[in-house]
Amino acid sequence: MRRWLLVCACALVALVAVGCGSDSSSDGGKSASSNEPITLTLWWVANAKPEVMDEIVKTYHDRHPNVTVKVVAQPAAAYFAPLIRSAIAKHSGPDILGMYASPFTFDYADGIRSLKDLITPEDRAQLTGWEQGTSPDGEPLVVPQDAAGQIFYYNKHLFKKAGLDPEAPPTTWDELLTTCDKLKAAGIVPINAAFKDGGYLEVLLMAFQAQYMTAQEQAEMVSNPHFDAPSAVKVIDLMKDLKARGCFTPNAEAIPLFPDGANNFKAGKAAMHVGFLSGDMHWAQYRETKWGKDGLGTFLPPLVPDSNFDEPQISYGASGGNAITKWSKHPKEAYDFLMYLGSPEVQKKNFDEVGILPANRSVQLTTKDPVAQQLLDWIRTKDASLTLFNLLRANVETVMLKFVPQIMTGEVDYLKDVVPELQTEQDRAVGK
Amino acid sequence: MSQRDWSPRRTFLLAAATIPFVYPFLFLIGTALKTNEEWAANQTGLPHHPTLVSIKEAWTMADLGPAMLNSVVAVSISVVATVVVSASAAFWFMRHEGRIGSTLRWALIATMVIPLPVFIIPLFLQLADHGATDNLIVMGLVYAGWNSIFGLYLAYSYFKGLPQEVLEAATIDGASLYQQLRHVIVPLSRPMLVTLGVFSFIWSWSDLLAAVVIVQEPSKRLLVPATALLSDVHSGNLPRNTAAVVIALVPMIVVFLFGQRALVRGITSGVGK
Amino acid sequence: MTAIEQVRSEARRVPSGTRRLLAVRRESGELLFLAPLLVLMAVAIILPSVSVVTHAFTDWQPGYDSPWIGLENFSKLFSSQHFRQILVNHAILLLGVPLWVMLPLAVSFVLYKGVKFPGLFRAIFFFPAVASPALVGILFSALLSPVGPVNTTLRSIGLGSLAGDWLAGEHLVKPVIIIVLAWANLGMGVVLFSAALSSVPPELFESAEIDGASWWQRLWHVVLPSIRRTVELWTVLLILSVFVGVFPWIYTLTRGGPGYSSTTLDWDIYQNALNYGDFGVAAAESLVLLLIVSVVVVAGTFLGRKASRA
Repeated sequence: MRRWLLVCACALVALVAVGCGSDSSSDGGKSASSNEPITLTLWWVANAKPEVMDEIVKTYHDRHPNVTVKVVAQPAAAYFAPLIRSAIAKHSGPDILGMYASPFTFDYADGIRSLKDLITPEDRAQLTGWEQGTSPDGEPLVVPQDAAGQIFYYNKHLFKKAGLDPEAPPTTWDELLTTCDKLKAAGIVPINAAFKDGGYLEVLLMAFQAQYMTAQEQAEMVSNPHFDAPSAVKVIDLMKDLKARGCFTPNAEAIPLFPDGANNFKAGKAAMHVGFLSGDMHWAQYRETKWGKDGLGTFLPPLVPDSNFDEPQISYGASGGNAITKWSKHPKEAYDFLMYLGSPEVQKKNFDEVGILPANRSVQLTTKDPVAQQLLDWIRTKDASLTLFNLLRANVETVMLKFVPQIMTGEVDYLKDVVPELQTEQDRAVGK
Repeated sequence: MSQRDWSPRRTFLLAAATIPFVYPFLFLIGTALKTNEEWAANQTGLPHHPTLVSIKEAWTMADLGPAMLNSVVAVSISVVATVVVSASAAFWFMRHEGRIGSTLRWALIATMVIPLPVFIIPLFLQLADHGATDNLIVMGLVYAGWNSIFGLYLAYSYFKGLPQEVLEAATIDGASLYQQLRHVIVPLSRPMLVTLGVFSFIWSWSDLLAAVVIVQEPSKRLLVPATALLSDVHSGNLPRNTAAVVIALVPMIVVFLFGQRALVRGITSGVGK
Repeated sequence: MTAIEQVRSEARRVPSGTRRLLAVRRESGELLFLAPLLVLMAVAIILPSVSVVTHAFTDWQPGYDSPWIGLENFSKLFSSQHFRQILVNHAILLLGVPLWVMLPLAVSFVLYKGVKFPGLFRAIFFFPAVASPALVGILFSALLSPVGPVNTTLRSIGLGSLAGDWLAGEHLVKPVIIIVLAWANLGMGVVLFSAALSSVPPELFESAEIDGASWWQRLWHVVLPSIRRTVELWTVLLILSVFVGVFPWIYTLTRGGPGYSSTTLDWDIYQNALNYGDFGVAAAESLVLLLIVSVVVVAGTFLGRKASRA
């Protein structure tokens, strides 16, 4: 008698175990008619003001009471691997994935639904950045959400302390070197740096490489990236030179950019930092620091020696976006929500409250912040060439990031050791 | 002739040798009791103003409360299931010691050598196919599946060493198989079962790879992965990261203190031969 | 005499070699005792392992068509530069085995006699071996960080030039891992060797002492041979652990870096599958790992059997 109890207990446990489905699957069941309540699950790596996203979602729900958007913030370190990879392997998970509007996304195409049948010509005209997120076989994968680029920020208080004119940041490479020397002499770290997780070298490349790129390189950036291009090698050599001169944070190869490197600049531990126009490491965040209230300045990446340009330029283009997963049961509703995120109303709210630059070019932006105004002016007036923001495919970028600390210390040579690995990964990804 | 049977010199030398084994834990606790600011000023010394601030921060930032609960659930299931399943199986093998029985036993025990990284991905995919990921009960049962391999080995060896007469007496008195196991063998095997439970607890609690892959949903996350994630994401605040490690280690310390002898017994049971 | 007493007296006449249960009357449903183990093991280890072996020969796209591609995953794997680095990494880590054997051996010999509170010492050494490798890894990455106590102490005693990022130097990272593993494994070795030593007749050591042998000579020529089987077992376990047990350390200490200098097979399998999405290559790599482990186990058992026959 007792042993049957044991059997039943085993069976019951097994049934419960299998029956308890995972929480992360999206609202199951048949595709509902447009008034049945549905839930869209959205994954993202939260920005500095997640409450703004909550407000946006609530407004959408008020207008579309049958649609509830469940926003799940994921940790950055686990986001792409293993979370997104696992979701793709499982064929279940969120309806919407925060992504990059760039070739980065192509390596996740297995799990992303093409938007071809959902995009209208009006949508295309409203937002910029569709092309960068369109796969080589012509499938648009990402709804662009915001724009960004790389820019120098600096701490005017620290400039004054070193005897530098706080209103005259460097515009040429020589000026940058002189500025470095003066700051060093005053015991101040000239340029904030953090290479351990690798991203910062990419940021530096994106800030400067366009000044050396040929027209052909620019044209082929998405279809056929040239990792061995002289433009890349030259910029990396310039960065290593800066390191050799002591312009960077000491021991930067041991410091990860997120969160330590980013926090170091916010804490006033360096005079200059290469950050972004919007999103993260940007003017809105620095305004909230002690020194940033009245001491925040910004300048364009200085001209490198033998630059293609005569004046500093701004690099600015599509950055983040959202993708719809292949297994989503409500792709149309998800798309509508994403286009709502791209509407002038939401894009303006994100700029005003979080400082995020829009992908929607029709938005009229106004700001009281002089630094933000300066950035907007530059975007409007300068030759905004296509930003290199994450134009590397995800798998290729993973390889690059691994080697950055050793590239900076000189333990490996970018051209000889790293480029072949990048090329191998690129060929593998494209060949699939 | 000295009265004592121990040498102060040896004892002292050995005590010196324990310093590298004790200091890291002192550092761990000391750092966990500092604030980030204090740590920036004082890396190696004892905290001047011990505070629970970092521990509280770690607890809330990494959701360690829910994570600990999740681990308790999964590991409890693992421990109970391991003991029950191993004892039952060992009992069966005691009654089937012919060619088939012993070959099967060796084959099952041999799977102990298959390393976790080899099969974790297909396991994950299999579970995902049945919607069984992000499920604490499933996680506990999976742990039990692995622990029971060692459990079978341990229980079988132990059962073999039990006095035959009592087993036979129970049989003759008309006891059913279940009664034989439950009322005769189990009470006699308590030390071994405790040992098995302790092993099972330690292995399951410590696991990182399986938990990270199978339980990804933040609300179901287990304690050790949550602690590791905190260190990953917020690497700058060392007091907070060490505080999380302390929190995750406490249950292990408790179990170690009570189960240490059982562990040693279990490990050395195979060695005396 | 009751039935029980009768059986007991009869049982005493049964030769001690017979270990079978005398009343083997098969009951229906007896399989229920074995079933839970079989079911759990099938789900948790057997079926997944079979899946890995078969998928190693396919272009594995979970949930989609995974066509057979024969040995292509393997050729991709073997031709990549970093796979060679991985094998080199394992070879270098194996160099730690002598250290991981001798250190616990020496400590157990000291503990063997002439020490007050031997149990306490054993517990102090044992706890690090029991604590979760993932948690201990986090602790060590804090200890070894550029601003951690190791460097701070070096600087304060004037050896600041030796301070560095212990886990970020290409040539430093593996020796550092070897030392961390020595720390973590010591306790288990001490427990094993102490138990083995306790079953060796003490006269063996006493006569060596009387003969005037030094402590080191006694360790090498008397202790080591007397517990040879245990030492061999420990060695095999250590070698296995280099291939199957380092994942939590790599995850928390180095993540395989810098570059690929601390990437091990298990870490690479995880990366290939869950970072790059290359499930087929990950499966092929898993098969390679499985083969290596099988070779180690078979070699270990074979050598063990040979020794016992000798």
